[in-house]
Amino acid sequence: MHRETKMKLLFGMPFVVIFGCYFGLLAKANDNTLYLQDIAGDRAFLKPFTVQMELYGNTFHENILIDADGVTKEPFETEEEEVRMDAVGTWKDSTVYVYDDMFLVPTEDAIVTEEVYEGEYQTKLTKYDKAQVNIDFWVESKISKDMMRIRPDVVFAKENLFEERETKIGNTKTELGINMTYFLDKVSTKTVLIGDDLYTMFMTGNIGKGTTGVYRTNMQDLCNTKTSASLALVSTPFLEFAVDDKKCMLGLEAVGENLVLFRKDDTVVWMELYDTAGRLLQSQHWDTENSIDDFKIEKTVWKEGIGFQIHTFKQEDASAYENTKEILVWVEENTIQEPKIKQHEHTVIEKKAVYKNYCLAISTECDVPEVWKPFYIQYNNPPLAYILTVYDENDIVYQGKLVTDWKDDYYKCHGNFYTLDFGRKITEQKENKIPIELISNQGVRLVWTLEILGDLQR
Amino acid sequence: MWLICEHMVKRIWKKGGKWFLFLPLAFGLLHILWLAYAGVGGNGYIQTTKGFLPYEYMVDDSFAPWLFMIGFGGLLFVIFWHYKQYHTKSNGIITFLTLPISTKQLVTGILLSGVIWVFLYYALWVLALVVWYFPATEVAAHVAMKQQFLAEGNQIITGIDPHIHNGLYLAFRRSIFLSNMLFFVKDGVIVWQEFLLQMILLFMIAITVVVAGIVPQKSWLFLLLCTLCILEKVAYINNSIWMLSLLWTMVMIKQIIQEIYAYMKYPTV
Repeated sequence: MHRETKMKLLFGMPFVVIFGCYFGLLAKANDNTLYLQDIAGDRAFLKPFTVQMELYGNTFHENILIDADGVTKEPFETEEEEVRMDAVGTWKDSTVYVYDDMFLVPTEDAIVTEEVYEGEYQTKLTKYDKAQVNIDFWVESKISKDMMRIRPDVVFAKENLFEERETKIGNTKTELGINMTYFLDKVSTKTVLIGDDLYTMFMTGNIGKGTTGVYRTNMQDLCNTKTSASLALVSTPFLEFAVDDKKCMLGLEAVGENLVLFRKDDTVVWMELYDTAGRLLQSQHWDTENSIDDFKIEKTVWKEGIGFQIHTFKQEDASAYENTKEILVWVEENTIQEPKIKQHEHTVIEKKAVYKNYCLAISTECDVPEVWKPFYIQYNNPPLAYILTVYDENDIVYQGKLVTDWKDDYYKCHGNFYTLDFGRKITEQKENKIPIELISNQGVRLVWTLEILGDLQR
Repeated sequence: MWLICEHMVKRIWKKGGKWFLFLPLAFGLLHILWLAYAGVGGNGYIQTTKGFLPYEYMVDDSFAPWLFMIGFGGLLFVIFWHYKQYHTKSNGIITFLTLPISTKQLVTGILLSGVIWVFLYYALWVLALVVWYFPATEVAAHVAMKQQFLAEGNQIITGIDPHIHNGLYLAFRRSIFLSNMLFFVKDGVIVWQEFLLQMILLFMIAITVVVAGIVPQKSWLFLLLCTLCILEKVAYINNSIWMLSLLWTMVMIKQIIQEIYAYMKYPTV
């Protein structure tokens, strides 16, 4: 080859290669995008994902948005906008979620008192003695994909806490205020699904009698009517509840059929039995301290036809073994029976991290947050088991049990498998935050920061 | 012009350019293949994960980006040092002036040799990383097929098709290293301006290195190179000044070419 031609080729070829790769890959991008959409199917882009993480009974939520490019947008940056979603149980092969975004509406039969103040500022104060609380449900089923809500009535017996304020200067309305904030700070609900019925325990703290109650709704009604359903007040327990800063009811452990179970600290349990009209039949206080020694109550579940199952545990050492006791409480002939205690020893915490075809590599390490350290010390450095769940609108995209290990000032958690559809990478490390990135082979990239919010000791 | 260009390209090849061209690339590619087989280890991964690795993970976690930088730096130094030798170990720049060609052709030929080397190096890496996608993902899939999967509730799930991959485009888009070679992705958008800036910067680097070597008074041009690299990164971060950066780079190229013309016309040793 002629020298000049050879050198011209040598000069030109790199540019051909570089620009060829650039535009060639760009051209491939279109096909690829189509491919991603085909694969993704229902999982259309720009939909919110909710990531739920359970850690010894504490549930953390994160909401995330993704678009077609896999770019994550954080839709709920402030706490006020955050939507909390709790799975309360399964009904006819579908999962029922509760959205915890309560707001108050005055009822139609509320006694309304109006106070008008005249002067420079004309203020009208409207007080209601009764209001409705909105509780939203999401049933992940084929029957209904709509949001449903029930509205229990709330009575303000002691104080007129729910009021609207309207101030006028001349003809101009300047301000409209509703003093719900204080009230809603003290409001909390707990919902369980038993059979076809949905039981909602409604709490307003120490406000007064009539403001608390256990409500029963039929799931079939709820799904059929879509907007509202018949609501029966099962019972009106009047107990000295308290609501903590995070609006969690202290004391309430579980709600069963006409039976409500409470506890104090980790050991003392008491139960109250009501009839269908809501009258208190029996109240039994049971100090479990002697029965379960130094075991801690982990969780309580209601088993239909059986009763309450109270799970307790005790960490033996740093190994992956734990000691559990199962306490059974049940009702026979309108009487609360003596609890039965069954003990299991050395249950191995299994290491699993799989969901269907989505197998995740769960492995992370970061500094132990300050709030965790007392927990580790108290329980003699146990391995932490937690469940990581990634929810799509209609699918559980991923669910797996993780086991953590820790050493010195950082902890590691790891699952077993790397995934077909997801890869995972630690992007940065911050205190009290676990940044996690999930990359799907199907073009979905999830990036979120998991924030450790609560105290881990129940 | 082409004569002097070919001569200089061959000289640099003999002076060690070939090693910097091929050795880092070979080691980088081998390491990528090893990661495809053995899984990505290190930060964040306690258990070595095997199989199902996206290509961008393999590339980003391999030594390839480091080897690219080492090789590139080494190559630039070889070019610089080679031209520097004309002052210290030979008859100096007078050698060139005795050639029966015009100054313009001489200067163009010398500058072209540097440009060819720099772009050859860059293009070879791009091409190799594109081609290497296929064997690397094949190895990863082969490893993945051997794995057994456990499901929740002791149910074993097998028969997963491991041949699903992200594709080359997404790999080049998501990988930090690969996206910095071709697609400069910022906030999920490909910034083609940055690619253009990268190309012009490579051009700038090539001629600056040659001039810095050949003109003894202009060794400080190496400092200019560093400034340019920083400027390029700043332009990448702040998208609005990319045009300014481009303009400034072009002005500097013109200035440097003028310098070498002036020097070759009235050389001082």
